[in-house]
Amino acid sequence: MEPLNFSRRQILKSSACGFGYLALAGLSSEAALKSQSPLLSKTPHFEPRAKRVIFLFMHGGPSQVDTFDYKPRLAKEDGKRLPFKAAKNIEKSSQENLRLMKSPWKFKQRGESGLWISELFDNVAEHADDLCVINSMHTNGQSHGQAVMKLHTGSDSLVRPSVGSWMVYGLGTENNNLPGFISICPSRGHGGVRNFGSAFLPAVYQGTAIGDADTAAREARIRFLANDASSESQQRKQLGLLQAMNERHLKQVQVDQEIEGVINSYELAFRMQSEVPALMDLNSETKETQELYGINEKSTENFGRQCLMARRFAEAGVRYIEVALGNNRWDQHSGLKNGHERNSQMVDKPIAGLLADLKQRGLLEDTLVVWGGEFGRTPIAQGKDGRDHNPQGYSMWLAGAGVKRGHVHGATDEYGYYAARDKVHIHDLHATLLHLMGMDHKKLTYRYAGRDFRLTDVYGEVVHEIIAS
Amino acid sequence: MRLFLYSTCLVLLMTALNLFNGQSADAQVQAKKTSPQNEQAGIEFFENKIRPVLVAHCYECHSGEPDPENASFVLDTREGILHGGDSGKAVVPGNLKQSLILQAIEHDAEFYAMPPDEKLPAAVIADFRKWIQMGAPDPRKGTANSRPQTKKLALTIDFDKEREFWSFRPLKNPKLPEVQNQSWSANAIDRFILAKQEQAVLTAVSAADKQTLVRRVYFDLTGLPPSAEELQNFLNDQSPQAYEHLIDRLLASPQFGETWGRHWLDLARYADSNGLDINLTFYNAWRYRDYVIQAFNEDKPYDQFIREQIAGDLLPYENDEERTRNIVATGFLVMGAKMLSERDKEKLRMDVVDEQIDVTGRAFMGMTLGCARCHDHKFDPIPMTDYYALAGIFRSTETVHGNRLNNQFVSGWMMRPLPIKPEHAAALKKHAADLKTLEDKLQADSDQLKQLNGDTSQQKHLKKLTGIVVDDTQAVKTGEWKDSVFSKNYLGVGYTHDLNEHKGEKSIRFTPDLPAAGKYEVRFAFPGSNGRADRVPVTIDSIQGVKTVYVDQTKQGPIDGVLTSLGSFEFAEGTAGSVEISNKGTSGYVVVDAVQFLPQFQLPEPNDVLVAKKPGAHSEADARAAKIKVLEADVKTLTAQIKKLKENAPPAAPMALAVGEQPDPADYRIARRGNIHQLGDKVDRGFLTIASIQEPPAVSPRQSGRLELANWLSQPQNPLTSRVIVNRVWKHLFGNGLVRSVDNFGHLGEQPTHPELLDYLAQRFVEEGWSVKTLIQEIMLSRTYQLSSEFNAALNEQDPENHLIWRMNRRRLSAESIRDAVLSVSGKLDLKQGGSSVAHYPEQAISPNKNEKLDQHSSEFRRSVYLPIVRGNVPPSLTVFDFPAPEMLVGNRPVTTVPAQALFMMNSPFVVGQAQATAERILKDEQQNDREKVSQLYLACLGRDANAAEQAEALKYIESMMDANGTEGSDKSAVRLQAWASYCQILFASTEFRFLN
Repeated sequence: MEPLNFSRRQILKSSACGFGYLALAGLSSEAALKSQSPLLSKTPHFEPRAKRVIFLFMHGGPSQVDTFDYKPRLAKEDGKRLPFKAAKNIEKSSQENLRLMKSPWKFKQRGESGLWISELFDNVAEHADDLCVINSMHTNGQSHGQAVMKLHTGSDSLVRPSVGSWMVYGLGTENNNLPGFISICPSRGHGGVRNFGSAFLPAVYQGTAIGDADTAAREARIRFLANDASSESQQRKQLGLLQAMNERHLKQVQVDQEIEGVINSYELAFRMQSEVPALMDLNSETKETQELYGINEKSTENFGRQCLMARRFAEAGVRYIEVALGNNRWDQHSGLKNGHERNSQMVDKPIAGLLADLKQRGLLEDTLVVWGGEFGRTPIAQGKDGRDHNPQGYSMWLAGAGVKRGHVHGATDEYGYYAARDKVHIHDLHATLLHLMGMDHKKLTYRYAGRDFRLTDVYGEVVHEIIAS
Repeated sequence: MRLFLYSTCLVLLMTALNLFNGQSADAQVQAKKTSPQNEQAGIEFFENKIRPVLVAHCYECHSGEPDPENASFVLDTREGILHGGDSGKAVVPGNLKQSLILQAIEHDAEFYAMPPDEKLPAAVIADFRKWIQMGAPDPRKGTANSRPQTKKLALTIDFDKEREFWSFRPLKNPKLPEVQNQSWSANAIDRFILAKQEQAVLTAVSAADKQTLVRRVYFDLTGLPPSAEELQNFLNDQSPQAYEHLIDRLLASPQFGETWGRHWLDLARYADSNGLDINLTFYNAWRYRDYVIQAFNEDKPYDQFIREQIAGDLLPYENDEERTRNIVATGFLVMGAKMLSERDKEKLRMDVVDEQIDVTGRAFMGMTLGCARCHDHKFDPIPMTDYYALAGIFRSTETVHGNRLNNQFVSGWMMRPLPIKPEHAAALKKHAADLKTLEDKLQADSDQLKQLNGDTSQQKHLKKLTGIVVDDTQAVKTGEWKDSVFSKNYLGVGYTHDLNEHKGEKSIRFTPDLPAAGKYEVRFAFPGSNGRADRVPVTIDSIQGVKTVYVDQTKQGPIDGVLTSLGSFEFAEGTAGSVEISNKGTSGYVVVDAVQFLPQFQLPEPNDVLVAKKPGAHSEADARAAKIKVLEADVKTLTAQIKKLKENAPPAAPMALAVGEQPDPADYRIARRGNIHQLGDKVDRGFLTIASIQEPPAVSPRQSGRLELANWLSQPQNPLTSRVIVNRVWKHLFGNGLVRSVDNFGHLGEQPTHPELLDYLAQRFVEEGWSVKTLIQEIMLSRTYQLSSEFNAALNEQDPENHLIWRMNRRRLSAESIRDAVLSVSGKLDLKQGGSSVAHYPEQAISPNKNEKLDQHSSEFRRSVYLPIVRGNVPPSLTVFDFPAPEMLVGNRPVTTVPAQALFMMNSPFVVGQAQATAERILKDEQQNDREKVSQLYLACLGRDANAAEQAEALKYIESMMDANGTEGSDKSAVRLQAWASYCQILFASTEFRFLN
């Protein structure tokens, strides 16, 4: 039995793109270039500030006035009427009777920077001096589906490539043995796979899902990564004959770049098969690290695992990693007090752990962490103990590579309803994320259906004010 | 002093009048003549307060030349600011309401928010108001070039000149080119190909061998490999017509329609669910899928196929089957993914219209029309007016329809009943009636049972009340009172109402048996809500005398949503006191439920509730228990009967995803920059000017215009329609189109490599009655199609992209073909045709919250075209091999090579399972020796026999696997099976299996 063609594998492994050996096959360099992996690491438009992004997605829409947007006047006028017109999404019939509702949680100034953060995020607040909070976010889409897709793809009504796909399209990956874009436990609804899909971009740029929001993080896997039916040695043997036959086929047809590609894809898949589970195996982390993420506690175990996986993927060179608290969990139309408390309990410690861990490993220097939901919630009450959707104004925060530290950008009105000063639309945030990754959002285009498409459509301005000098 | 008072009064009076007229005082301020001093002051005000703001915040965009993309007007001249832009005048001196600049700087939610990044301070906005009230004094000079009207722009396209472009040119029958090599061509197609090759001094490779050819033809026409037997039959058939007969036979097989129908479904963005955020199941989409498959199997003329999909519902028909097909066909227009939760419903409708225009333009004409939603097409001769001419047609078509999920914000889509057989209708009617009878009975029995058991929430609530409670059932009624349980906030077993009639003739008296004298709070229970009487007289007769209070029943009672306190009163012990409710003088329903007497002192004996206190005799309790027993048995029987009835229900009345006509068809207006809230000039409904070589048909004012659109699209003179479809067919047979950008025949698309051939095929196609099968046959009979795919270094050097078709392109099998071929080899393939694949899905195919994992379904081993295509959850066996996102029109699936495919072939339960099934199948035949088995596998998987070396290699591998896995005492046959399964999997995963020579 022929073992794997090791010299060939060696070449594949040592070459940056994994396709270098094509040159040996006597192809012209132009043809070789054409068949290069589309995931090959590419030069950005300009010097990037960040090499990768970890996006902590809070599905359902956490309330800004209960977390990062401190509004003393809201507390003072608790129960009073909203002194101006409510947004369009509030039912007309109830417009008359809208009452302001103060936050049930206390806010405190944190760190040297004195950022106001509520007790829902006491742990994250420990890192206040690393946060760059944007309190003037606004977006389109009054419903979850629209806003979630707007956040992920820049479009609230059409199928478009997701942010991570654009990033990998623009920059390629840093690790050829791993997907460039990973989504950990994504929701299946509200756009579902479209939120990490590549739409009209080639499929190589689509996100790879690990589990889904209905699966516990400890059970989350990449599909088909493991074979329960045969052992590794059996598979190695099987792959040996398979590749021998494939090589023979290739030799017989002389030149075929697609067949080449398939042969390479088997090599890569086999390497992924051993590398990814090792990466996802959190047991190799110390007890201290696991505790830092709250993996030892029931309420934080799930999100803690997701965050720790994210760090490991970041370390291994994955370009864009999304970590979701999915299934619409932050959507507290009622039961705000219990709901938000439960959610913050699930994520606060793991996020703080992630920030601390990235920092201690020096990864925060070139990793950008982004936190936020698809929209915020109204400062007016819905029912007794709830808040409605608020795309008009909400908060997100960034931390790490390239952004100001301990900084607050923009503001909502006195009650935290509408973004008022230095407004940042989600298109602007997208433009800024691309900018931090070294790309001009107006130049990162893809031609489809007769048009050059961009992540930001015809909109978006880079928010230079939040970028560290 | 007096004068001053007088004028002040006048001003007040005027203000009051203005308010009275419902107009704001602002709007009444006149632009009065100003004195020179005032003029000077006004200009100073402008220079100090207004101009600096304009310069700092507005000039960046609104100055110099107006930019139609960005800012349609300028603010840097007086004329510009007065003239304004698309939306109207920016400033109307003295008129705050009409001065749109105010709306913009106030960031009115219905208008533009300017400046976009930050709202100006309130003081600055106040300055602008003041300035406009002053008459907007402005010393600036200069003219303003407003943006030219869209209409004028449209006229700037020289359509005659544009029609010189290859795809817009009228179709002409090209002459067959002269060629030197007279013997090479098998038919006319080859002459065109050969001529180009001779021009380039290039000689094509030789023809493919029969073995290669038969596999190619099978996959191209049926999407399946030939079985070993079919392969042998063809190889043994020495007749000169063997190849032609094979093509005819496969064209006539039902698998042809499944394969070519699927090509069309890629364009129709076919799916079994809506996708996007409210991912509702399309329970009826399968009818459209089956319609398409049938259309290809029947070789429905393509022009008719177009007409049916665009306007089938408006076409004449002769029988129910035809009517059904016509309606189902329009599912093409409904299939798009719709943002059903969009709260701006006009936007939703226009987004759907946009999607319909996009799909119609690209599928049938290879034109990207979506660009013209916001501006004239930048590259192709498609003015915005053409877009809105089509928009009028689709906006007059009903697609978005009704609500779903009982949610006012969630829209639904059109579903139309299909003709139904009378016996089917009768069966459905009977079934519904039977079901209702049973269900009514069940309801009644269950209600009675609940009451007897006393376990309704209302009864529990009643029991919980303290003090003495008298329910309406124990009260004395005068006049007709109707018992009801309609509103749920009642106590006990229901409430009663006065039927909202005979006012003043009805009353109810509640007489409590009070345990002690003293002060009681009296509370009146009723289910208040809208439509009830707002002034119901309630009279309390106590020791203190008789007192009447009035109760508002339009709202729920403040106590627990049920009770309203009437006050506290002194009562004697026993039944002396009472409370009476009358309907005298009321308007609206008077509802009465119970009255509670709450003692304001310590009761001498334990609290008790009157209804509870009423002790039944033993016999009564026994009777009750017996009754309960009977009822319980009844409920059980009924439940079982209902279940059985439902299981044996006749099939549901057939419905289709289909469009309809809006009741009031109308032209649409140009939406400026695509914003439907900024509508401009009306555009007559119509079609693409560029593709209208003859005078297009006029749109009927009483219809949407879809019928005319369908006719216009499918007329032979349309230069795009036939070119686009023949190119698509070519693409599916060669891997590339003659125009490689199959969905884009515009300036940004690619040029045809063989424009004359394209025109020849298009012309022939129309002549042959738009027959797709005839076209396929002609192409397949060409020598070009039968070329081998062998490599040739010199030719490759000369034409690496194979534009001249010097060889057949080697093609990766489609996702469907890979899966179906695996199933075909394993023997598991289920060739059952048609029908729903999602009948067992929940209403929301994927819910945004928790998702139950759906069970495997019987469609598991059916052909891939019948797998459930749920948007967001397409089977991985398809997505992994580039099955397109079913939200999008894709005429040319990308072929990517990603590790996920390798993982799928190595590890997926599907491939592992089918390899196992194949091994079982192959090992079953005990007549064959192992070498023969390997040959058999090669024939089935790769369409060729294994040579001796390959046989040896296979057997060596199987043996080594058996050696490695078998241990002393292990089940030999199981070990053998595993080894063979492992080998079968290798064949499935091999490049030779995945590619078509």
